[in-house]
Amino acid sequence: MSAEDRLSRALAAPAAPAKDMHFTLQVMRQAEAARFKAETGRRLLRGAALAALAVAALLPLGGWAAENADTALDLGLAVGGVAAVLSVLRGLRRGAPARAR
Amino acid sequence: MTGDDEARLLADARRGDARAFSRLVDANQQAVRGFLRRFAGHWADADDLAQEAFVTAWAKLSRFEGRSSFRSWVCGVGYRIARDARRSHARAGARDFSWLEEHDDVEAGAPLEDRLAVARAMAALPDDQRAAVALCLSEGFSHAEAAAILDMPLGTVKSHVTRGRERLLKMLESEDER
Repeated sequence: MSAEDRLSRALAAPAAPAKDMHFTLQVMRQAEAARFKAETGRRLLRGAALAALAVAALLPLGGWAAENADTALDLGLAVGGVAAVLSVLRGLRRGAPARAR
Repeated sequence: MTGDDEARLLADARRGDARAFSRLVDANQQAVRGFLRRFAGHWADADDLAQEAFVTAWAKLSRFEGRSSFRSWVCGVGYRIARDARRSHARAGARDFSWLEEHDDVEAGAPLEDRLAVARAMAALPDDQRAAVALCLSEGFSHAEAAAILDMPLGTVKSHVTRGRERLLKMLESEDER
């Protein structure tokens, strides 16, 4: 057999094994991991952007509270009082079924 | 797999259907792994690179315009990943041709010693030449397809294939004389 023929045959010989399900599974597993990583990164960025927006919105409120300390204190106490009443009511509602048993 | 089947699976995969993409991987893994085994030389590296190529293809599927086959496109993605990896890590240092023993002589159609000699000779070719020879003479891609995969002019690919083949032939003959 000539060197030309031998070269052609050696070059045409299959290099990869037959279809391998394990290879496909590995690819899909890695693809899923990459997708999860990208999604987590996107969520983190979205959270950071929302936090920055919230801080930007609260800054003017801080300025107003410094100028009107008395009103801000009254407002804070009123909000705290409403929150306390609401939490007591919620506690009573949660405890009611347990007492009924 | 027919062109219509491929187009349908690609459309489903673009909509995020992982099962459709896994069928595309299944249908094209041999060509991509075969090409990268010949290009990278080290079969374990080559399979890692092929996996990376498919994962990258999945992430960038929206950029695939369909001007070539999916197989050609993934081979191109794999070629660029392998070439960059070789440049940054000098992977060429460790070569392993044990994968050639996977097929016996009858199944492969060529004796193991010839396949080893050609693999060694391939490793000595410059990257672009080796890639063009692997695609056109081993994996059955046309010169035009190889030009698209390697992002090279058609004439350059043709001359890489001709020169690469001549060099392989010379190396095979000189190995016989030893």
